[in-house]
Amino acid sequence: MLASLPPARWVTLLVLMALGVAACAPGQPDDREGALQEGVTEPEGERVEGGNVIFGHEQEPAILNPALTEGNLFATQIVTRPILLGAYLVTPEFEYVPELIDGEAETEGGEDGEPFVVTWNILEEATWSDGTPITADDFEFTYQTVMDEEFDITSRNGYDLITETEVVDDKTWRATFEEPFAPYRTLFGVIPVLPAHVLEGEDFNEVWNDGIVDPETDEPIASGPFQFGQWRRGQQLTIERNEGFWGEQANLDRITFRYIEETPTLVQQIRGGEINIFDPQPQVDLIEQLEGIDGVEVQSDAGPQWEHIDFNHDNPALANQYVREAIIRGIDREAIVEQLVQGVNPEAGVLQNAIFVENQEQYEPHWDVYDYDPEAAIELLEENGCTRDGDDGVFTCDGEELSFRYVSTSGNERRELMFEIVQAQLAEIGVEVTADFSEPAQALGTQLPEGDFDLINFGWVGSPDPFGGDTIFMCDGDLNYIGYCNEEVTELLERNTGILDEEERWAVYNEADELIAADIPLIPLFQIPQVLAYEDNLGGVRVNATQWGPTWNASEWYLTE
Amino acid sequence: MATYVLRRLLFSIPVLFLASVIIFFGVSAVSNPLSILQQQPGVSEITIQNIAERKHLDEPIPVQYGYWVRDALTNRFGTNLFGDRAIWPELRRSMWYTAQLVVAAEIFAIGLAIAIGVVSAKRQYSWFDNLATTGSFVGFSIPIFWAALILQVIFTNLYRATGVRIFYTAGLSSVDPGTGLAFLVDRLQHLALPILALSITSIAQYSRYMRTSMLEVLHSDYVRTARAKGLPERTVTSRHSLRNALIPLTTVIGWNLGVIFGGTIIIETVFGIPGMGRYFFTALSIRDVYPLMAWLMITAIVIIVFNLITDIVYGYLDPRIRYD
Repeated sequence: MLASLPPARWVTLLVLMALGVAACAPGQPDDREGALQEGVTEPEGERVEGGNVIFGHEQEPAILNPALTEGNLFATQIVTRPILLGAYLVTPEFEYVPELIDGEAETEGGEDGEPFVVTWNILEEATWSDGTPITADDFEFTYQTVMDEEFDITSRNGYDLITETEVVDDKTWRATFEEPFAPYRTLFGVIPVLPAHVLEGEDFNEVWNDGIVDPETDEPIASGPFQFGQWRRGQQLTIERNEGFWGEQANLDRITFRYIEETPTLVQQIRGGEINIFDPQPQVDLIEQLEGIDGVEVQSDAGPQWEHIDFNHDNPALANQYVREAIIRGIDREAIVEQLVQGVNPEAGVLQNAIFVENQEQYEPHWDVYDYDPEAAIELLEENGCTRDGDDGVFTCDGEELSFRYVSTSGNERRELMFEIVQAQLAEIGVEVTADFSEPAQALGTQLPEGDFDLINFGWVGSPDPFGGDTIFMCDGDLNYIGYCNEEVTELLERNTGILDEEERWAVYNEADELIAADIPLIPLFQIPQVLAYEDNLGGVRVNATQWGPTWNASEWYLTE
Repeated sequence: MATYVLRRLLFSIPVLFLASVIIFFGVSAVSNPLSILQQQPGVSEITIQNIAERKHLDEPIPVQYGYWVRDALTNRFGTNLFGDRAIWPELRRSMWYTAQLVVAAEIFAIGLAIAIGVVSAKRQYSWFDNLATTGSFVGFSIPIFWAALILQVIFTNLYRATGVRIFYTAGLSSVDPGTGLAFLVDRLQHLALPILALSITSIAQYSRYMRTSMLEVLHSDYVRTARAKGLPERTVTSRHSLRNALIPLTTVIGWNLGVIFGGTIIIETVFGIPGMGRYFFTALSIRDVYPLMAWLMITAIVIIVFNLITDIVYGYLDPRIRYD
């Protein structure tokens, strides 16, 4: 049973995701309403006013405060996203659209050693559900709360670079950074804008454990189209339409989240009409099963998490570039994607960039030079003096046998299947891999940081802006667990947050990726799809594979007869 | 009797202590609970340090264990790791839901098993007896999670075919369960399938024991005497046979409690019931050792207490048994 237990889905990794997502591309709606309605489902049948949608989810939030470590769960985010808005929202196209602010935040300075100043102009009409205007004081309060060391804030990334803040007027807030900080759009995103007038003076570690309410009156407080309704812990949580919402009112009266951890049960629930929508795990057989149910639709998109196999550069054999190249050429990545991913997301392809994911405009396929070519792989090893002396047919290079320990997490069917494919393919080019699978906390919590692996397969969460993931590839970077070092790459990555011209920044990142691809410190494989299954009478739905999640546009959802 | 109960209770203290040490040191040694936070980029170092200090994670494991014992004894198991929230309210609520499920399933299983066992014994080798025997073998062999899934599929198919909702496939109640009788009916519609799934193995097991023990009693001398005296068959069965035949069953029911709890973990997961099983899995999946320890202690205490109750009931049913 343990193996089928859904893993706790944490969102912090997803913080990377939003960093510096491109501003709106030409042809995309640049207003909030337009973005929320773009490309959503439009079922036939007459639209019903109001109604209740039941959303099945495998995990229950522990608390509802999305800024604290305990609220750092995907389960929390899908509940709070329609309740508490941020400065920007992130669309399924991975683009930022202003949400609580009037147009883009304004930036100035940042060149020739000048301080970098960002100004947020808050929408005139934006108010809290109790009618209090959303003001610069709320932005200031949010900043102060995030930086207060007493509180268990998950991430202070970006906020900790602010040197000075100013409440310019009611609707204008300004922050000064000592150095240019290009990913400024990430601020007030994962951590939404907090209501100063109800939280001032409260212990932030204690508020919003059980509901997003005014701690004094227990009345719900919201800046978004929904507000907190009721939480029967262990069973269900309801959010209801915020009648005092400053923007366009939500169609539905309520959304009820029901917590059921077993996927087969969720399948029966949607078959039997006990739930209207759920976000299934991206497993091929499951998606096929759901697609076969009359009255149920399935949508998928490439998600931000991408799988890869990393090389431990401390291993004397793997320290050789030609060994790594032989391995990447010996793995048929196309076939892996076809077998493991396309059943869920038919559009899926091999990820050919270690910095940008395929959904992004900035994506350039630098890694496509490494086609599957086992003969070339063997040739490469032989050219470098490797020999196959033993009976097992495994190459030995410079006295080191190409026999490696392949670490990954147990309980993940896709990773287990992938290991089997990789093992068989590498055996053909004279490379032996043996499985060392253990629980995620052991494999990723202990073995990865301690470098206790030869090859390791896990997932990073892709970053349209590599800001958060820079240290993966920097020499001695915090997230560089593999001992990879290329001074030129490090220099490029260090430079990135200071480049304010977006085009130029993306070009620098792609330049870095090209260098990384030449070094092959890892093998990028594919993006894990994000899926939504819903009854075919549910309109307004669209998968958002970013951390904004499936309820990103819940205000647009409606039922038809 | 009082001495016996006291002795049993005193014996259970070292058992509980040993169990708590093994689990605490086991879970703590396997991994650092903060690794879940540490492995994620961008998580504030200050926050991680705050949690480590608050929970004494920077101290050696025996010292951490000491703090846990203090909290468990003086503060109802204290608070959880990440959020510093009280453990007891959630654990108590989980216990209540599990109790509803276990008690209902046991009453259902015992009642049905006794009836099946008695009829099977009275009509040995009849078609009913053969059917019950076959049925119990099937019941024994079915994996509990499979039975649960099949029940869900059957009742979902029934709903799709007829549009009539007899039983729900998950949860404890509907989104709007109503009040009073409506609430009760709704709760029963939700609990029916988990109860059925959970009691399948118990019914199979208990009915076999009941049949064997009833057969033994029915063939004993005193029952023959009772019949010879001219007592009506009903009195022979209910007063003279049934009560004596129940004694072995009582022991089996007591022993079976651990198995039932094991089954509950699976059933609660499959049917989305927020009981002890789900509590355990949630705590395990986020490596929060404190709720895990609380769960373990409560489960151990429940099993110890129920074994004790079994012994006491045993003495009541068979007055020859004395515990002095």
